[in-house]
Amino acid sequence: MMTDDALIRLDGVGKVFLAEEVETHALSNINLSIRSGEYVSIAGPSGCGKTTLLSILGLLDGPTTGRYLLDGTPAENLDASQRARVRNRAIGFIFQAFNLIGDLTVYENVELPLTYRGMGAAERKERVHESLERVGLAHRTRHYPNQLSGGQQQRVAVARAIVGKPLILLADEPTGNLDSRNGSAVMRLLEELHDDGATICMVTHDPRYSHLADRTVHLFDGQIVSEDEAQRQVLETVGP
Amino acid sequence: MEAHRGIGADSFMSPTIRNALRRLKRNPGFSFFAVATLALGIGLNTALFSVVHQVLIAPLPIPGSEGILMLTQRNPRLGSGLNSVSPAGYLALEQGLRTIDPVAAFQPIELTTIDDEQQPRLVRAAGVTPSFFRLVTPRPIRGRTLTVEDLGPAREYSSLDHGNAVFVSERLWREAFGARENLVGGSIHLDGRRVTVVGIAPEGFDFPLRTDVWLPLLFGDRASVDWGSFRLGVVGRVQPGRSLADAQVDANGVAELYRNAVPPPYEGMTFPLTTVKERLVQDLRPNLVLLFVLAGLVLLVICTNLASLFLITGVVREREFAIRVANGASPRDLLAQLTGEMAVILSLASILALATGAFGLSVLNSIMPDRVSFLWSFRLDLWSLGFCLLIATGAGALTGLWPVRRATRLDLTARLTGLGATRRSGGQGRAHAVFVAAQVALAIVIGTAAWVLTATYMQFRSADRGFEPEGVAVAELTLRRDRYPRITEQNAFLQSVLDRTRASRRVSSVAAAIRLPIVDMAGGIYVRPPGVEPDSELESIGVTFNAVAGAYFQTLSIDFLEGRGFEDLDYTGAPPVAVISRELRTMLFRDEEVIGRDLVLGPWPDQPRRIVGVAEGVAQGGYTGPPAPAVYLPYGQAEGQPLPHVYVIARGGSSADSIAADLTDAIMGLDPGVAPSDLSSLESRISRLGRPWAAATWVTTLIGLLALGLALSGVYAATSGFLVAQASEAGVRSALGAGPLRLTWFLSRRGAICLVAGLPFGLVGGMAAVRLAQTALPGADGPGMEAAVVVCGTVFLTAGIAIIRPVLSTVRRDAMGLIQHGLSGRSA
Repeated sequence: MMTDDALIRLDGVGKVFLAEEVETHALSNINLSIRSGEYVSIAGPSGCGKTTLLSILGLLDGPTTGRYLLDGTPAENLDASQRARVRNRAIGFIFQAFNLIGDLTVYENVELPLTYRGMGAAERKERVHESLERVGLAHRTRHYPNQLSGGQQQRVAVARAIVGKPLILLADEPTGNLDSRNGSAVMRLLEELHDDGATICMVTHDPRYSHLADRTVHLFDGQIVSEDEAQRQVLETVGP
Repeated sequence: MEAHRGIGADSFMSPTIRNALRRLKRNPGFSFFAVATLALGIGLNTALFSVVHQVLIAPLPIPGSEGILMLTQRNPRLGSGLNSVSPAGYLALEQGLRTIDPVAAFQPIELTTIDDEQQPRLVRAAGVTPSFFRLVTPRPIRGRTLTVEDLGPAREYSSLDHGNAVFVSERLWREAFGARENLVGGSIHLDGRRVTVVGIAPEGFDFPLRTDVWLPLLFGDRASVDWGSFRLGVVGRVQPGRSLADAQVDANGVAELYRNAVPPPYEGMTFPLTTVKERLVQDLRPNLVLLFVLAGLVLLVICTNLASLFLITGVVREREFAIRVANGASPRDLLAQLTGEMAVILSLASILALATGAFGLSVLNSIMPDRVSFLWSFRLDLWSLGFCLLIATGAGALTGLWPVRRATRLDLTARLTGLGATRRSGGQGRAHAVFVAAQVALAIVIGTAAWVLTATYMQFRSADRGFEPEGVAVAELTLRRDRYPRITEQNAFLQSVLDRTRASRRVSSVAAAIRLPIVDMAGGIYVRPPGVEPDSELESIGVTFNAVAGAYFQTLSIDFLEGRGFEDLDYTGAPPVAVISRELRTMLFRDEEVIGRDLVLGPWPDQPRRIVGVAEGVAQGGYTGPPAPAVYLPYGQAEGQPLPHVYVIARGGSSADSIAADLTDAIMGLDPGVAPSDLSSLESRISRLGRPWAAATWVTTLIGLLALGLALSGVYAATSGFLVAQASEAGVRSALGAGPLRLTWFLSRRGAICLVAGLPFGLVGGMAAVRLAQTALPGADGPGMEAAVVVCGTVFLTAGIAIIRPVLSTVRRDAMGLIQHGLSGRSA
C-alpha cells in the first residue's frame, strides 16, 4: 500500500551482508509505506529480517538496494552526519535490551538526545520532566538504570525515545525482556502515545501485541508476505 | 555431573593447554604482544637483577675474601678521597688492633723487568708486608710464597728493595718467561737489579689489582713518624665472632691512642674501615641502584601491561565466558582455562626471556670496564628469572581472576541477550581508567628517568674538561732507579727526550708530567700560603700535585688565566716557582692579587715557592666532579724521592699514532732500557677510562628505550582497550543521534580524561626520578623539565594514536552492530 502522504516509504529495498565470501540476503524487494499517525507492527519468525528492516528504517544501517523516503526526503544515501541528525530529530528508538547508559542517571539518559540537538538547558529540563512524567517516572530522575526494574528501565527508554518529539517511534521487541505484567504496561504506554498521535513501527513476534497495531506487516525470509502466506510458510517450515 | 567432574579432573591440563594454544594461534596479534612484552621485560629484568645480585648481594667471587677489611686513613684537614694509609698509620694499626689479625700492607708500583726475549717489560708490582701472605693464602703452583726470611735489612725507612726474593704471577711466568720450569730458584731483572723467584702464584691470583710481582716490604725506624705519605693499601681479617662495628670501635681506639703523637696537619686522623666488597662496589653502587630502580619500573610496566591485557581480554571475552557459564562451567573451570592460557604465554615468554637475558648479559659483559670485568663475568641468575616470573605471574593471576569473577557474577540472560550496555560500568570502567592512567604515569616516569640518566652520562663524557686531549700522544715511562737514582738524572733524561722529540717536524709541542688530567687520581700533597700556621683559621688544603717539564700547558691546551707558564729558566735551577689552578687560587686567595705571592707545599715546608701563573682547572680521577685544586712545579724542582713513573706527551699536526712513533724513537734512541709502555693517544686513554660511563650510557639508553617502548605499548593497549570497551555505549549514543564528530569527541574525551589523570602522577614520579639520579650521581644536571615535557608529548602522541583507531572503527560501524557486539564482535 503506497500513498503520497506516507511518512516512510520503501521502494524495492534490499539488504545483503557480506561475510567471508558468503552473501546473506537479509531483505529482498521490500516495498512499504507508513503514514503519519499509523501504528504498524512487523511480525515474523526469528531471522526473517525484522531487526534489519527496523535498522534501515531507523537509519542505523543503509539499504544495499532500493529507495528510502523519510518524510518525503531520500534517506538511503545520507552520509553518517546527516543520518545522525535525522535520527536525532525524526526517530525515537526503543530497544528490546533497553540500552540505557549505565553511567548516566535516568534524567541524563533521557536528556541525551536533546544534548545532541544543541538544545538549551532550560528547555531540555522541561522536556525531560515532561517526558518522564509521561511514563510515570518523574520521581526517579536521580537513579541509575541498575537501580530500576526491567519495566522501569524500558519506560525510561520510552521516555528517551519520545523526549525529542520524533516523527516516528521505532520499537524493537520492546517487551522481549519483560515479564507479562511489565510488558503489558509498556504496550499500554505505546498505545497511549499512539492515541496521542504518535507514529509507531514495532517489531514483535508476540501475537498478543502485534494485533494492537493498526496494521501488521509479515516478513518471511527477508520478504513481505501476506498474513495467509506467512502462516502457510510457517506451517511448511515447522511441519503439520 | 560427578562423571563429568571426574573426566575433567583426569584430563585437566591437556585440553586446557590445547585450547590455550589454539586461542593464541587464532589471535596472533595478542599472542605476539603478550609473549614479546613478557619476554623482553622478564629477560631484561632477569639480566639486570642478575647483575645487581652478583655485585651487591652475593659474596665476592674471590675465595677467602669474606671477613677481609680495608683500612684507610682520613685526615680532616687534608680533605677526603685519600683511601690509603701512611707508614706510621699502618704501624699504629698493626700494633694497636685487637679485633683484626693479621693486618697487612701493600704498596702498588710499576716496575720493569727483562723477559726471555730480552725485551723490557712493564709489570705491576706490589711491595707486601710479611703478614700479607698470612692474610691471602694462595697455593703456589711452583715454589712458595714470601716469608719473613726473605726480608733483607731495611736500607730506608720504607722502600721496596729489601731482600732479593720475589713471588710472581702465573700470567707473568707464562707470558714473559715461557712457563719455564727453572724460573723458581732462578733470577730475573727487576728495575735494574737481579732478584730470585721463590714461587709462582696460582692461575688467576693477582691481588691487589692485577699484580704480577710481589716484593717484600719492610719499614725502618723513620716510618713510625711518617704520617703524611699516603702510599699504602692496608687490609686485615676481622677475627671470628667480631663484627665490622667491633673492628671500627677498635680502630677508633687506635686513632685516639695516637691523638697526641700525630703532628700537624695530620692531627684528628681516623681509620675508617670497609669490607673489601664494599670498597670494590662503592663506585658501582649508585649506578647499580639507578639500574635497579629502572629495572623495578620495567617490571612494574610489565605487570601493568599484563594486567591491562587480561582486563581487556576479560571484557572482550565476557560474552564467551557467559556462554561457558551458561553451559555449566564453574569458576574453577574458567580459572583453569585462564591459568592454562597464562601458563602457555608465560612458558613461551620464559624461553624467550632466557635468550633475551643471556644476550643482554653478553652485551653487558662486553662493554664492562676492566675493574668490573676482572671480578665479575655476569651470568644469568635463575633465581632472578624465577623472581621476575613470580611477580609477572602474580600480576597476571590477580588480573586474570577478574574475568572469572565477572563471569560468575554476570546476569547471563542480560549478557547473552545484549543487555550489557544497561549495566553501570562501575568497577570495570574504573579499573580500565586506572590502568590507562597508571600506564601513562609509568611511561612518563620511565621516559624522564631514562632521558635524564642518559643525558647525565653523556654530559659526563662530553663536559668541558679544561684541556684538549684530541691529537695528543702519550708514552708512559718507568724510569729504572739503577739508572736514574735521583730527580736530577730523571730530569736530564726527560729534557733530552723532549729535545729529541721537539726536533720532529710532526711535533709542535712536547712535555713530561707525573700526572695526566682525568687519567690519574686527584690529591697528592697539601699547601698553605707562607706565614699561615697549620692550625690557623685558613687551613691547609689537599691538592693535586703535578711535576711537569717542557710545554705542558701548551701541549694540553690548558688556558692561562694569569701570569705565565714555566720557562726554560725554571727548569734549570732558578728560584722555586709554582703554577696553581683556578680552583686553588679561589680557595687560598679569593680576589687578592696572586702572581708573585708565595706558597708552601707540605713536603717542602722550608722552601716557599713563588706563584708565577694561574691555569684553568682540569678534572682529575675520572669524569665526575668539578676540577680539582692543583699545583704544578717544574720537574727539576720536585726534589725528594725519585718519581718512577712519568708520562711524555706531544701534540702536532699529524695523527696521535705517528707522533707516538716519534716519541718512541726519541726515548729508545736515548735509552733502550727505558720501556715506553702503553703508547696511545690521550683521547683513547680517556675514552678507555670512560668505558664505565660509555657502558652506563649504552645500558641506560637501551633499557630506557626498551622500558619506554614497553610503557608506550602499554599506554597504547590500555587506551585502545579502554575505548573498545566504550563501543556499546557509543552505539547507543549513535542511535540517539550522535554524529561522527560527537562520537569522536565522546571517545576522545573519555580517553583524554584517563591520560590527564595519569599526568600529575607521571610528572611527580619523573621529578622524583630526576632527583634520585642527581642524588646518586653527583654532578648530574640533566634536563629534568625538558625531558618530562618531551616524554609527556611522546606519551600523549602514542595515546592519541591509540585513540584514533577505535574512534575510526566506532564511527565507521553501524550503531546496531556496536550496540549488539561492540568493536570486538562481528557485524551482522
